[in-house]
Amino acid sequence: MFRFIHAADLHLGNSGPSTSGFSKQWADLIYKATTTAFSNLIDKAIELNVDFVILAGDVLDTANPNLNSQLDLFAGLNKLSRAGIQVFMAGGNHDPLDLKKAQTTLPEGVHLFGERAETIPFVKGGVTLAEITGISFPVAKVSDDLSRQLVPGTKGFQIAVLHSNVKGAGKKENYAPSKLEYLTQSGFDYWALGHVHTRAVLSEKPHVVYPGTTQGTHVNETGEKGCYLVEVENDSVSLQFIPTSAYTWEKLELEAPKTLNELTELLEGLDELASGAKKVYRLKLTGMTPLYETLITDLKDLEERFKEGKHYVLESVELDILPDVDLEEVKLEESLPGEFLREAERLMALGVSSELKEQLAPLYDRLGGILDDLDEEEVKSIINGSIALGIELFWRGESR
Amino acid sequence: MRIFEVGIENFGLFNDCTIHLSPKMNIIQGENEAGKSTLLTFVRWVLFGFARNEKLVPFSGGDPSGYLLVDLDGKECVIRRQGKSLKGELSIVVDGKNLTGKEAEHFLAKLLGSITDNVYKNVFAFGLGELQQISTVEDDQEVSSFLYSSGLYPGKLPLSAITKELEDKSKALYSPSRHAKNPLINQELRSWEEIEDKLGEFKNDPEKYNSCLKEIEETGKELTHISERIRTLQEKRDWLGVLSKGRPTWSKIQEIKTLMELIEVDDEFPAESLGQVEKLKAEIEECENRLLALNADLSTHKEELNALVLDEKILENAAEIEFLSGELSRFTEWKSGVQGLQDEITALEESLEKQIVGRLGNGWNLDKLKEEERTFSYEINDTVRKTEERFKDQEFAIKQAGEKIEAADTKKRTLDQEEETLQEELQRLDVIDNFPEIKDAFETYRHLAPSRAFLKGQIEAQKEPKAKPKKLSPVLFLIPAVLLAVLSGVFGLKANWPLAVAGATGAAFSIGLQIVASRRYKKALVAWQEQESKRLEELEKLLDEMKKIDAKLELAKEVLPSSASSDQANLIDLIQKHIEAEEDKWQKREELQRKLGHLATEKAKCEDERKAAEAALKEALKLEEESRSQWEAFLRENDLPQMEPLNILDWLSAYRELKTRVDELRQKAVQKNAVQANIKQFTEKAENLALRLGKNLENVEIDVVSWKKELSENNDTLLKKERLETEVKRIETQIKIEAEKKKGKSEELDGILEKAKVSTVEEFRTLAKRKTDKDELRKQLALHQSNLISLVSGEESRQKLLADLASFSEAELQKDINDTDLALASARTEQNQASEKLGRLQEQRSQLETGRQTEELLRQKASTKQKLSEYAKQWSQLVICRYLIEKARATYEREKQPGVLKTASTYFEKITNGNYIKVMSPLTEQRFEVLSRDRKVKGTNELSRGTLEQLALCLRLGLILEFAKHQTPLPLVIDDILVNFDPNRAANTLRILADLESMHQVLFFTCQTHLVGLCEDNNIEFKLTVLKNGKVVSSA
Repeated sequence: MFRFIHAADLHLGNSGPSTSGFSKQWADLIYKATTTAFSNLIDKAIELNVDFVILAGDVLDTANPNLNSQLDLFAGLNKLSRAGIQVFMAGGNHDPLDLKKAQTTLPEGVHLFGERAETIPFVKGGVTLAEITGISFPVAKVSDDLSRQLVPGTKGFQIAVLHSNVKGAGKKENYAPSKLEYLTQSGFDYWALGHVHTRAVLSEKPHVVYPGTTQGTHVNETGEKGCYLVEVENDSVSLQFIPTSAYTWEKLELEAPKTLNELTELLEGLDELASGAKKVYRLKLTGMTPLYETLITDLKDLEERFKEGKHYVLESVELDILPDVDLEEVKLEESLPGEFLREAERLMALGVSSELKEQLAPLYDRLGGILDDLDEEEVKSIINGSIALGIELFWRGESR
Repeated sequence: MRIFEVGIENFGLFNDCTIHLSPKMNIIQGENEAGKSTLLTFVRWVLFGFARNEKLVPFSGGDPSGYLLVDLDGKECVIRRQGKSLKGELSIVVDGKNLTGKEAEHFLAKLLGSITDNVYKNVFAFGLGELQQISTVEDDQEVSSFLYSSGLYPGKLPLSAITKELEDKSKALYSPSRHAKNPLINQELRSWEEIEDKLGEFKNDPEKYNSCLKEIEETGKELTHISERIRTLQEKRDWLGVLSKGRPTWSKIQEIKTLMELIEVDDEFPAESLGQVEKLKAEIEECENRLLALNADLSTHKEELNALVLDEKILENAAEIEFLSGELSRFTEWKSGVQGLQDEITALEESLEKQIVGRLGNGWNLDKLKEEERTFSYEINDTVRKTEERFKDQEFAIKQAGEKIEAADTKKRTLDQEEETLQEELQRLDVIDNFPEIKDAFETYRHLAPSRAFLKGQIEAQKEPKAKPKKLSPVLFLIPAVLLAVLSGVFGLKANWPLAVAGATGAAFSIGLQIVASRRYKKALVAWQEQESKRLEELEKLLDEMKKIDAKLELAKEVLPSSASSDQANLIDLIQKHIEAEEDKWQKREELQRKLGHLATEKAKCEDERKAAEAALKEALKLEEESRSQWEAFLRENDLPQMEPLNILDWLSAYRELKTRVDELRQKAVQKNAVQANIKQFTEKAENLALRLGKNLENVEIDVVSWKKELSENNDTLLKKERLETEVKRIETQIKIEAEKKKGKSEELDGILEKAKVSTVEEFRTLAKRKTDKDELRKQLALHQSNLISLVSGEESRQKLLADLASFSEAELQKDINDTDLALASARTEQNQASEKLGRLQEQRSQLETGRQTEELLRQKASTKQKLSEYAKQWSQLVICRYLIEKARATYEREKQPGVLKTASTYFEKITNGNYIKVMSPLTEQRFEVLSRDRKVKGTNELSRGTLEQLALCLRLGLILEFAKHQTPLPLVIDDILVNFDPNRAANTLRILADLESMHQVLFFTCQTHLVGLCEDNNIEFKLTVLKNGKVVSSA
């Protein structure tokens, strides 16, 4: 019997969301979250006295060098090495082999797979209990299916370590794409994958597993994050999720309140809602509200006022609200606002259209390397915002 | 809303005026100033209150007040306003309810809807002025927003403003220009680039860190190596240092050794005795010098001694001379003292001689006084003084008695003179002797005459029933006339002519008066007749009284001189004055007589006083005589000169004083004798001494002084001689001692020289110096050698030191030192550089490890990204919103048109008989265009005045109809707008207005009468109301 920890996508060095406006305590907690999560992982490994640890790529966050995260990484590896726990690492798209390393020599018992597949036996009490086969990304962009290069060994439990996007597993960029059917028929007992940040067991017997990221760093990475403790006894494989995050992301999408009191109550309740855990909230208010103008004008003040509590911080408040006008009725009118709404509806239906992109090109052409391309949801949000703006302007000064 | 009745209670020129209106078309005609504009203002006021700057106060004073009776969809409603304030007090009666205050305001506001005072003024109630300026419609924000936007959307922001706002906001967020600085997104993009640039600098951090670690190790090794090198060099440098330090000493040693070999002297030579030799040599020379000096001294002293001479006689009598010399000053004093005393005595004697005769009297002189031994006690003075006082008292008494006698005599003489004067005065007074009688008679008459006359008158009046005053008056006036005549006669007798004439005149005048009086009585008599019977009774009484008076008169007449009787009243006054003068004289006579009586009494008293004084004088004289004899006896008894007491007192005091002075004189004589004795004694002593000295005494004082001088000189000489003799002896002894001393020293010196095997002191000296020099060099040599050895320790090192010193030249050594120093310095520099490098590397390492800068940048990057994402979303919304509006507008403008313009187009076409077919306004612009029949687009500036006014009217009508869609239609009030319309267009216009009546009541104000005809010609129904001076003249 042996057991190991399977983790991936540590993204050490990812600084998380903007922390401007937060107290130092919260700002540091967020900035150091990935390191904290890694540290939690190591502590857990030592505490559980696991046999080895697999880190399936994207241990470091970015192709941009961040010496500190590398030092953190080495400190952690050293700690594991001293505790006699072996480490098997594969480089992912964020930490390919061409990454400049701060230290050339790895601690004893730490193995980094090279750009050619290799198999390393895990021996315990003189018996080879398992063989671990892996491969690293030679460069950041790999479009080949690297899984094809991995061949199982002959002795004991066969583990494959790979950073790869299994087709249909997530909507992340399609690095080193692989196919689940192939993986399940490859002869390996356990595919220790990395790349997709949401944990997922794609298959059992043989196991194809994404442990997810150890720390959510983006609003889309909501909920508890961590790694898997894998126990192998004879032929049975059991998985146990071990949380490691320093904080978790939560998206709160709420119907816009009708009165200021209601809104204040809502914001005042955030701390209770977080209830003990460290949470980073993104609040989204939607729908028609008589508070439309108040919210638009006072949003910054409100955000400032409820920026953080004991258990939470408010990353941002997104407004997807409309003035309190019966749009369905207006839409039928032979009036300018009617015409306007009909145009908006038409554009909305087109989704991420070239018509829309053409209008936004002057800005988005320049934001290319910085922000992700617009997605359906964002387009919807933009058009909703435009409707709100238009309605407000068309109704301004009207005595209601 | 339609107005049935306008009730103007008090407003401008209107006062209690009620105007009934047709609910449809009304033409209100009136000349200028008939009240048309006021009526317009009134309607507006009731609906909206006053605008801020157009209060209209009633001409007749008081608060403005009035009402409108209106129809609201079939309900009657009274809107009433009152009060001076802007809004006044509003009250509304509707549905049988009476609304006031806020309730009423609220009701009205709801009724008027979005139409404000301003809108009403511009759209519903306007005149030619407003029409001529189409811009009033365009400029007014409220109206124009309604005009341009009505039908477009519910809000009031013009479309142009909406697109502008969107554009402004998006521009504030982002500008595609690479050079734009201010837009928020541009700012953030710039920050992003900066952060990326900075982050790029940290790209090679891991390599840097790696090479940093390597370098640290290498530098550490290098440092160890350098340290080793420095240690070796330092050791060498230290040895060279020792050599360099020892080098001068070593050279010195060599030098000294060479010098020592050059000095020739026996090492046994007693050079230490040089001091002794030198000392002895000097002492011997000293001895010789002293001997020479002593011998010279001795011979000088001896010569001096032989020259001294002494006077033995003087020296033998030294004590006597000293004594006399000591007393000499007293002798001189005595001599001058005797002379002074003699002068005083002589002066005193002379003064006394004179005083004695002068003050004690003849028979007295100095000798007598000297012999006189009497003394007078001071009791005598008392006796004398008492006697003196007694004499004074007695003399005073005598004098006083004499004075009294004289005074009595003088007084008597005065009294006699006075009496004589009074007698003379009395005689001078010419007094009528029987004056009291005359006076008494006059008084009686004066009192009784009027009474009697009156009585007589009364009696006569009583007697006669009719007035007969003539008979009364002579009697009445006769008496005074007679009396006055009498007085005149008296005065005439006394030769007092003026009075006599006066009396006579008075009598004549009395008679005259009587004539006057009789006339007066005629009236009185009438009264008397009526009372006659009553008065008769009283007549008797009056007659009795008359008789009594007459008796007294008789008496007076007797006394008064009969010739002086007269009847004149004035004469009485004159007589009275005369009598008063007479009376003064009479009183004066009595006064004089009284004074004479008084004088007689005084004289008697004076006589008595004189007799008493004479008796007192006699007594006093007797007493004086007795005292005199007593005094004389007293003087004799005391052997005193016969003198008055006062003089005796002076004499006694003189005697006593002089006697004292005589005693003084005597004392001075005794004093003088004693001094003279002393002088004599001193002189004798001097004479004896002169004898002994064998000299003649010529002048005691000069001689004694001279002797004293000689004595002093001899004493000095004697002392000098003794001193010289002692000195000679002392010198002789010294000479002997010195000679001995010299001999001893010479022997000692010779012994030493012999021992050193030299013959002269000079030779000894030369050899001794050589020996000392050599010894000194030897000492130095030893010192240097020990110094040199102490530089190092250990025998081996010492040997090496000496060997190295001997083998290296100075220059070689110095070169070696320089070389070593250079090598050391360079090694140290290397060491410092390496240390610094190490420090730098370590610093770099720790910086890399902490990663502060990257952390900060990464945080900034996250923040910038978030902002960018946020702003990008905002910008996108704005851009898309504007895009959508633009698309909507284009479609709308193309396919639809705002209601106002549509309506305006219809009316404009009607009024212009189809010359123009469309009114347009570009949606985002605030201006109008019209489309002519031939499809030409014209701007407002291309239209004629009348046409432009028609366009303005049509736009208003369009607005009015648009408002009517949303709320209660309000009455239109139009003020004479047809002035510039041709008859055809005017008729068209009136027809349109009349057609409005289905929705709006119309009040058309005009001053032109022809409009009525125009309406009638066009079959337009209307109600005509004619106004004049705030009153309704006719209504049909």
